[in-house]
Amino acid sequence: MISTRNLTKTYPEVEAVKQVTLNVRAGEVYGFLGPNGAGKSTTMAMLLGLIKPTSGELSLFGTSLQDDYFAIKNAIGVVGENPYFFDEMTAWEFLSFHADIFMMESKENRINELMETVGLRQYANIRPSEYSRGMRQKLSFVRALLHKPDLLMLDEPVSGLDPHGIRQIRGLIEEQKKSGTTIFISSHILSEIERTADRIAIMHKGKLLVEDNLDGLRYSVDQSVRVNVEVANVPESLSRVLSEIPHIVDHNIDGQHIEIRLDASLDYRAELSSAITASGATIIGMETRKASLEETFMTFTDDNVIGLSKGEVQ
Amino acid sequence: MSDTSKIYKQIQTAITIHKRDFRITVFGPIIYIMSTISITIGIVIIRNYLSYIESNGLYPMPDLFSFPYRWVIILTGVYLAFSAVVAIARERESGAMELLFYGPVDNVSYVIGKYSAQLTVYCLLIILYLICFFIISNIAGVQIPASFFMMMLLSLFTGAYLISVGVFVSTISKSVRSATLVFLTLIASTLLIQASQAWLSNIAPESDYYNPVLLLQQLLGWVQVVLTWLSPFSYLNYGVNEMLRGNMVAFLRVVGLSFVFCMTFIVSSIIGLKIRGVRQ
Repeated sequence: MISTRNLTKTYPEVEAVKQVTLNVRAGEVYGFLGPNGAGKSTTMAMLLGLIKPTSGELSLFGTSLQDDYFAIKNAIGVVGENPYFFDEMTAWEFLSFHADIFMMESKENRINELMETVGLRQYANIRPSEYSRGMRQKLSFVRALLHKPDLLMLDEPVSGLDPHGIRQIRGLIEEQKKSGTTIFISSHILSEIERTADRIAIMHKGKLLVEDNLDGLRYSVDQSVRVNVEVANVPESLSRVLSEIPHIVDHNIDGQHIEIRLDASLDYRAELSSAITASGATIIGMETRKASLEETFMTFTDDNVIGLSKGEVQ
Repeated sequence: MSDTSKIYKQIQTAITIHKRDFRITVFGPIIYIMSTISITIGIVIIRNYLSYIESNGLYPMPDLFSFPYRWVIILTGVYLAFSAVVAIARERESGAMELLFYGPVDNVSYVIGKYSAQLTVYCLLIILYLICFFIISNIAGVQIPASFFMMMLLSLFTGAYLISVGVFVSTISKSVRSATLVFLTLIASTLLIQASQAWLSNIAPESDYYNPVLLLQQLLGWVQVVLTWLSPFSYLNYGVNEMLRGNMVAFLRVVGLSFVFCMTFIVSSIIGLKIRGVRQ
């Protein structure tokens, strides 16, 4: 769906994007992460044809923008970081204008249907400048979905929204995902990406560090799984027993709580459970804790461990 | 996509942008204020002429309407060109231009759409001015000469040229402020040089050697030669004068050159937008 090879953008003072190679598959939700100044917006702008790459190749729907500009643009819906509008138009006029740009037939039904979905139908004849931030973001979504795009490109779609607004936008994204739309989301709100993305790419200082699904990313930064076990009747031999289990990387016993790091290559919890019970302890509870996307992201983008990414990860 | 299909889509997109911009201009109050001011200035000039005729019994010019009409056209053209400057630069500054380019809008359809909207308003205003001048001629009892219609034809090209300059300036400018500054400086310096040259040419220098007036006359004379080839105002003046002299070849040459310059600036705007990009 989206494919780039060695995509580079150099400005006189800085190399904003350095040889980025990424592939977004049809029908997936692709999370595009990176700290401020990582080059995400520049990459997105190049994908949309707003900025010309210095070098490298990019294709959308298997073709380049130069070859089929109008067909590609007709198949993309974009929600930018800042919801822009035209001051002189009401929300309905704004959407109607965009429907005309996309040469849509029977635009009225589609506009009304989408406005109803996001709860803006009764505000259709008000200018977007009078809308709240959340309403404007929803209107941006409606604009992007008007022409039923095959690819949705979202730049910080939930930034500045209250929890209710985030929930509504999440609902829209999930709905689009179900209908088979490919979604490319750039966001700082990692929990949102964690919830929705099938695969995630992390950019840092213009470089694409990694592109994988969440489990793959977690495994890249930490090859172990944390298991917290709550036990009763802790025998003195428990620590020795745990040390003898080959798949346990590390463990720490604190009263009735045991924190164990297990090799993540396979699920060894059953074996662990048997060993603890055999030592004479009684298991009250067991909880597996995987690294969150935030922890994974921080590990990838932390300058102290960035050596990890220099060539080896990608 | 075939070239025909691409051109068709570009035209359709340009029409949509055109409709929006035309609507904004026509439904805004400023165009009416500006056209009222323009026509009022025209009426004042004509009234002064008529007073002069009444008191002296002489016609001050070969054509009573050509001079006031020139002023009306210059004011209208400059306003609409300025309007294009602000509209495009503001759209880039606010991010609305980027928003348009998210969809199937390219630099060709954008520039054509913006340009044609202003040009359509300009054409409608010319028709409005024609009606006003007809009413004035009837009230004054002075017939509008046939040459006036030729001048109207020329003014179409002058306005088209002026607006294309405005579009060009805005497509390559970074902000509303810089676009406004560049455009107003261009217009003001052009008018100032032409007015200064006309004023200085009436002053006779006292000495031929190291006379600053003479030097300035020569300098402005050279600048004027360059401006004659570039300035839309010069084309208007030159074309009207040649037409009143009955030199139709020169008149048509002016019309043709205005058209060529207009096209040059439109193409430059399209290229300029491509190079400059849609982001601030």
